[in-house]
Amino acid sequence: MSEEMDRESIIKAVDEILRTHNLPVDKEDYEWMVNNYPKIREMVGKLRIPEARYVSPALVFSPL
Amino acid sequence: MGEMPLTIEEAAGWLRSGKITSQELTAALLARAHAYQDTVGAFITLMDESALAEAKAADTNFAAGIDKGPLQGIPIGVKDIIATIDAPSTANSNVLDPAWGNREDATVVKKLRQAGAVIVGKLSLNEFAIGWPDPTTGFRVPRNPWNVAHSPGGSSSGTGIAVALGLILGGLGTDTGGSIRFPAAFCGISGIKQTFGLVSKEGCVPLGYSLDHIGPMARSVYDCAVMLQVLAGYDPLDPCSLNVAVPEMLAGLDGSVEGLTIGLPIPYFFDNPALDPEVKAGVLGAVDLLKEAGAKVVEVALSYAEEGSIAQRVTMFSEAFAYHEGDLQTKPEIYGRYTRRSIREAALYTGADYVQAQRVRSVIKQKLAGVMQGVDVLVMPTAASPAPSFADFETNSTKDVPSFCGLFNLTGSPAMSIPVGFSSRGLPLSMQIVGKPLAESTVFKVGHAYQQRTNWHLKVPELTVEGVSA
Repeated sequence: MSEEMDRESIIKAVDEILRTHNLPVDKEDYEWMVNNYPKIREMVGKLRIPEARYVSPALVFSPL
Repeated sequence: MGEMPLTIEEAAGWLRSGKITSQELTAALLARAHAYQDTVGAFITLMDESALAEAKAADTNFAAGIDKGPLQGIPIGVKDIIATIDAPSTANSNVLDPAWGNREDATVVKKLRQAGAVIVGKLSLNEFAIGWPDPTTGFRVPRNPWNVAHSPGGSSSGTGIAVALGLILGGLGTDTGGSIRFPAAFCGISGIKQTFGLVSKEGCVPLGYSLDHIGPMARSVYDCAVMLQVLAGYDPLDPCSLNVAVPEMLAGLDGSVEGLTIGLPIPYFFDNPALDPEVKAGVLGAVDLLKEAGAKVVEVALSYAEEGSIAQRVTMFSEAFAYHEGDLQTKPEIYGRYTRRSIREAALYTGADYVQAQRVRSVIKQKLAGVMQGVDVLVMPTAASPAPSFADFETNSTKDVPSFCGLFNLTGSPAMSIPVGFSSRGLPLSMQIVGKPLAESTVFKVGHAYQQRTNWHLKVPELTVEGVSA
């Protein structure tokens, strides 16, 4: 995903997220979020495994 | 300062033979704790007065023939994210409302006190059990007793340090993605997070509601088993508490591994390019020793280990973000930088990401159950490398380091870290032993058998301060 996102669209996405959540951030943290947003989206993309396609989530959790 | 017992097991013998009183033991360890405080920062609060009063009560009970069990009179520490009636709870943060701690003991602390343990202090941690120490918050930066330029591991840093240096004989940690096992590994001690729900987490500031565990850390596997026996049990105050019979933790501690099958999950855990060669050699050496002792060793593969680790991360940060969102909106500057940055990562996830993580959780739980059908335990490294230095952290993102621990918070499996040697730079190496749900006794059996044949867990850091050495 990181190759697919240009900086402008990343900034737009991060700005929208911060506005929606009403999260103030300083300059250093903002840069961290912008720099890491593509990596994080790529990471969570790996959760879309085919084997989970028809599996129910473990929302009622028991180790047994 | 005279010779002191190294383990709970040894101290219990001394207390019953009259070789030492709990007051003498507690006073000696408190003096040592004060002496080391500026160098390693193990404690946030030392509780001299109440500890000595509890020690006196323990001695009175011994004199009257009252014996509440192996923890009576034993100095124990509590991670400062768990409530105690007689000391503040900070979570190592300026954000936590001090009123949060104005309550009675957490369930686990009540259990320790009922067993006669002496609570000597509240132990350091990473802020809210996440992130990395930020010196600008005003809290001491906990340091590794084997090399103070290195991290002691987190988030139960103080517990790892204090046990390693012999400032306490056992302590409570918490573990949402490895926070008991990492500091145990980096400080060269033993620590277990048991089956999810077996120990109440009532009275603990949450990090990841569906992943959090409170568990024991001590020098030996035997001591962890003794502590867990006291801590375990159903608690209606914890909605995640398991209403099951508590296993006999000490049942299998006979030094034998004959007839047991150990699985080595090679993909992800042993063939990972990030795995330090010295860690790998240390773990495989330990496995060889267990094989010589009679265990059968087989190679296995746990599918989706990387995806499971990602699911743990997404779950942990999402659940933490739900707890912290309000404070991150109104006073983010009061958090340490690495804490707020870690938790705020969840803002970059979607609701679907969280649910997808729970679907992966279902898959990985099923995969692990399948692998465990053919083995009694899995063995793997606890961490990919020995303790990192503080200097390295500034240049290397922890996100790129694979986690071998978080997966077992996701599945709720019992998982223990024990020391297996030292690196060429003198830092502890460690292995992780993972069992089936509620099969803590098997995990302890394997770890105890290893420690019957080695003495890595009995090594004490040679750290001298103002004339005091551990």
